Amino acid sequence: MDAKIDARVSHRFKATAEQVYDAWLDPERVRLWMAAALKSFGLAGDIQHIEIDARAGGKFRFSDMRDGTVARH
Amino acid sequence: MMSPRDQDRLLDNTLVALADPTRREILRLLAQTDARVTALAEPFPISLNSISKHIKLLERAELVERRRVGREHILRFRPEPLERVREWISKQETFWRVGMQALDALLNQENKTEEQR
Repeated sequence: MDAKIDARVSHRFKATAEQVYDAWLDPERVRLWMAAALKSFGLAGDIQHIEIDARAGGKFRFSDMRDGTVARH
Repeated sequence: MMSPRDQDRLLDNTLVALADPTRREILRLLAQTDARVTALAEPFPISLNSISKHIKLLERAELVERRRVGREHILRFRPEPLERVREWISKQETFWRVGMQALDALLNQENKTEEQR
């Protein structure tokens, strides 16, 4: 079975592409928008840790508190 | 109330059940009217045994309910799991919509502060 799924998100920003790109890779700004998104899920949006290593072959990791336990992504 | 783990499992089962054209056709037919297994299998060019396997997957997903009347097995369509799939998809959409709006608002705020300087 082919398990590859293509999911797309589009949003037109008022800010410039450079600003959006920089913000996308900045842990402190990611913390802010992701907290808002998590709250839309009915979660606390209490983000513990964000790691973004923006290189080819790099990793990204983040975690948030859910019911007193850390959920890692 | 189902535990999150059970909810996840049911969602898995539902998506698996829906990921096949024969099973979707079975659901389409059952949505029109309840049917006996043998009558339901008739229009399909595959064996009754294969149809039975498809029905089992649909039952596991709670999309189809079976009741016995004497020796007959009557199948019925249950739409509730489709509602759960719809809710799940809608939650993903909301997550990204709300997240991107928050990022947009954040950047606009930063630009305004910049202009005021």
